[in-house]
Amino acid sequence: MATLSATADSNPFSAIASIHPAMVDPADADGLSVPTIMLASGDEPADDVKKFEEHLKVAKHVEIFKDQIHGWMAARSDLKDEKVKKEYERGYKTVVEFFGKNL
Amino acid sequence: MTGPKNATKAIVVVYDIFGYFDQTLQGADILAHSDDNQKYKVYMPDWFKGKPCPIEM
Repeated sequence: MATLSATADSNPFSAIASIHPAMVDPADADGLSVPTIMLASGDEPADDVKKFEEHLKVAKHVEIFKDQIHGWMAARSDLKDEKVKKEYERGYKTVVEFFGKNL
Repeated sequence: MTGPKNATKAIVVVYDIFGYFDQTLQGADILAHSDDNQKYKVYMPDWFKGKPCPIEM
């Protein structure tokens, strides 16, 4: 969703964040002209994430949280697990820092 | 919507198919308040108008 709105002709956003996205398409990265951060889980195909990062021509931060599941920063997150909780918080902090540096 | 009244920047959250869930709402709060130098207003509209996908699926 974030990449779709940011690549549209009239993009109101100054930076975007993609959190454990479904269907990573490296071609989407070509149309991005704003700072982009993508945090992928171990469930997203690492190759697609790598290719997406290579296609990004803007300020970027792409990180794979290999030991986390798709959904670890949202509804599927098991915050009772200390490790998940730590990575959940680290994920959000990483987004805030990226926005702080790039907005 | 969360974040302090005097925030000058805003974040729009598009959440996953399950809609408003505690972890997602908490995440929005973290986004709004984590940065000491910059506070954000976080908007999380009800994209599904009250009918998200049930988590049991």
